[in-house]
Amino acid sequence: MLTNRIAHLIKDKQILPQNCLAITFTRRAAQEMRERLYKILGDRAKSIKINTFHSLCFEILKDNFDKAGLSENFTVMSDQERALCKDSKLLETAISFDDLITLTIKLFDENKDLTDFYREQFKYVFVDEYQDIDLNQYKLIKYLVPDNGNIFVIGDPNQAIYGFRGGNSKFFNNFKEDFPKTEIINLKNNYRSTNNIVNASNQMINSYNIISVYDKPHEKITIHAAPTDKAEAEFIASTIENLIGGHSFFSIDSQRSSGQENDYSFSDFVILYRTSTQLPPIIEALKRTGMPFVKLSNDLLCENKNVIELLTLLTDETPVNGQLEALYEEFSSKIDDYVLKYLLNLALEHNNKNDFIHEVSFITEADTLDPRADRIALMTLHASKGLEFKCVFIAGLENEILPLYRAKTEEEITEEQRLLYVGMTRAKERLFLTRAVKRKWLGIVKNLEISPFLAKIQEDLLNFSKFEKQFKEKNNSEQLSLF
Amino acid sequence: MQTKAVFGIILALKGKSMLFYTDLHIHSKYSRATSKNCDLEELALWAEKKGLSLISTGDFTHPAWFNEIKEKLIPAGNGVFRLKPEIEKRIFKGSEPVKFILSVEISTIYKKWDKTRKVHHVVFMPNLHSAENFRNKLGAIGNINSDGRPILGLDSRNLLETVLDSGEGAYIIPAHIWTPWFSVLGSKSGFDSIEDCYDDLSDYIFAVETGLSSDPEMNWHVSKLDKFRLVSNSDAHSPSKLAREATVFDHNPDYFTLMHALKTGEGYVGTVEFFPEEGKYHEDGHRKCNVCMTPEETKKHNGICPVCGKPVTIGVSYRVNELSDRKEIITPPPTAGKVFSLVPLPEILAEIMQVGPSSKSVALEYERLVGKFGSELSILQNIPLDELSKSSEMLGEGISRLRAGKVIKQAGYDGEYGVIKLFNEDELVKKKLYKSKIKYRHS
Repeated sequence: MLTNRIAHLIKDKQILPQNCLAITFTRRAAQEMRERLYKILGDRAKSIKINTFHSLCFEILKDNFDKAGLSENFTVMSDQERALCKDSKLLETAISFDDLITLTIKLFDENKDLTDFYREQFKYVFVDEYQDIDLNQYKLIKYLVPDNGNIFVIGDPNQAIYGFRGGNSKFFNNFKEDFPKTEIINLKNNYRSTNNIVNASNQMINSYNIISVYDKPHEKITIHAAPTDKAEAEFIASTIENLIGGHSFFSIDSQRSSGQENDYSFSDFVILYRTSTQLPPIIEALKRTGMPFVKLSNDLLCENKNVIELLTLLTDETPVNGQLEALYEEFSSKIDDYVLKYLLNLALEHNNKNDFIHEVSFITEADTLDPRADRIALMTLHASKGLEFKCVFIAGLENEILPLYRAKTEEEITEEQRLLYVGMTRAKERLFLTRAVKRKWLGIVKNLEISPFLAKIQEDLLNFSKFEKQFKEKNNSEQLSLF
Repeated sequence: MQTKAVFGIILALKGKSMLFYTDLHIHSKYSRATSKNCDLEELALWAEKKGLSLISTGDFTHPAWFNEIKEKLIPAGNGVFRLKPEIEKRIFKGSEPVKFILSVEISTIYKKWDKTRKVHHVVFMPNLHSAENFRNKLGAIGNINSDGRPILGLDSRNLLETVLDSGEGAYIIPAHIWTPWFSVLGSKSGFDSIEDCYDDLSDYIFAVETGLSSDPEMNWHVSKLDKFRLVSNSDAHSPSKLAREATVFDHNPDYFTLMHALKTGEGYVGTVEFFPEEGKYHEDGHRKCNVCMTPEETKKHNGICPVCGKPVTIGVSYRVNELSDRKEIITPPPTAGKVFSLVPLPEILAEIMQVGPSSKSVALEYERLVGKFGSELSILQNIPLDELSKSSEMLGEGISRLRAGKVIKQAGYDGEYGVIKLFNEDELVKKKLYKSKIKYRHS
């Protein structure tokens, strides 16, 4: 949507690409937008600025380091990197990610001419996921865009899920007051999901302003209750195996899979969860099937304690790649081989220790994998924002998981509900909501209640898979015998 | 073995040149649905019984199997390996020990041109170092630890590139190229040509595997396959299934002479084949509906199963027809080799004895015959019929019909093996109650 508008303005309205600034929420989203714009505009896409809040501020501060009171070679360090760094000089010139934004605001506050300069340069500003911005990001936008400026934002208050770290959809709701001449366009058509998925998500969140453009009857949404968390994981893995259409002779010969109809590959699947404590049984079940999968998280490689250990052993004295080669054997049992190989390759380009650590500090584990290969994706509900998949599994639809036990206030609980909404609306064709009757949760085996959010979905949209049916029948018969 | 040497002389006297049989696509106990006893010793033992001079290890990407390979095999030069002397001594009492080469079957599942593709490939490596390189590269692509035949979400072209990058002399041979679900030309998830699958790297493909459901003659119907040498292998999931198909050479090959023979034809003789009707996907149909149709019948029914109304599983025969551009009488292309169509000996014995092929009496008779005549392949191919008849009259008669190609065929379909018989039922000694149908299948 945002991409198409930028392309339209440049192609049809003769707007200069260098006057456009697009701000996305993640680096991945920025990357995707850049690729799509290249496809539409070709080389003209090169001079469009596409940034995250952090990278935008980093560039502004680099260009104006003196006025911001920074040294020319200032760096940004994550907390992890800071903990690893023994170079006091480097530490002195390093700022944190949060500093990036506050220092930029301060810069604009103290230098009216700079504010004007950037307002002149970025005449057209575009912001994605506006419902999730926080106070500082809001302030920054107010500096960059005058009240009568040209700003285009997209947001969905139903998808505001970053309240816990300061995101606030009030900025979205107050947009018209901030920019009085705003024209509001309501997007009510969902071009992504089947009508069953859209209707069920609407019912779940009790908001009906979105409709699906697909009105033929579609696959119902599956709710599966497994006896245990292990069985839940097994259900997910074997369902994917089935939908892929039997990836081995074995599955077809033993009729585990009909091998019919579907045209799915591994990257059409995502398994979403509320917290990573749900992961171990899922990973185990997937490993047994042999299907390729990847946990896509924003967890950095340098948060892994074995990687930290490796990095702390590095010294300034010799080139990093030589040191890594010497340490290879020792760490081959603790760190995956392909990760070590990746680090070795990285060290060939960044052979100085500080340089190397700085590079490593931005890398997630997923970055070390071969990007040419398809895999089933595993991620938290939060990380799924903005993405789409043909088949979505959401695991752990139980009270205490969704909503998470930590959510106590009304406000916190509705944010959990929106989080489920985000997850459900990632699905294009098939949606599976699974839960376990018995699960190991926070160290003890518990029988968690079904998530209250599911109660709002009407039964005619749902398909209860086998175990759920038996379970329901059993419950009924028990009730009957009481009378 | 004495007897073997004696027959070697007989063959030489008859002026026939010596043939060497190889089986290049097999699995270990670490692949799914394979026999627990699929270890290197059992494979070697069965290779000897069958009469193979070289087999592949299969599954070398699997960590436990790779360790077993490194533990029990030693390099014997030119890309081949043999069992350590102390193990060899236990298995081969005087006969020439079997040699191994490193291979693994890889399954790729991915989208190309908006369609999901599922292709199986047999990967060959000339040494442990290249194999190790390849394993490392795959580690960053998928999960190689749980299945001896890894499943990757990688484009076949990129798999081939990864193979070529792993070391000089590393190759891919596309596996059982006509199988509907998992092959390069398969009706369900394959392509219409080798080139569509491997793209700009297609020139590195020089041989293709016919698979159990097709024989060379079927492949000759498709002229774009002319440039590829045909190989046949067992794809065995248990040691006793070795050599049910095999690739034949006129010299005792090492890794490099074998690949050279497949590239140029120098030293390549041909293939040992199942009757294609015996393969599980020869004709079309639905196993669950008990419907089996020839390609012509399938066309008449518009590809729809008359029982359940859903599209039938299209078999190899139909698919070959679809891609065929030679409808006239077929003459073999210049790359063609000899074709030896055989039925596994245990199946012949089972038919004669009217018991299951894995029954104890068949196993005993099998051991007796192999002990006497040297190996299964020599019994099926070269032992003089009168020698065999002296041992068992029915066997002599059966083998004579087999060598003359006079067999009774009932085609396989939708995952159900076909049945090949050598005798009419009224010819057989009725040891048990008369059975209207011989029902057996391979595991």
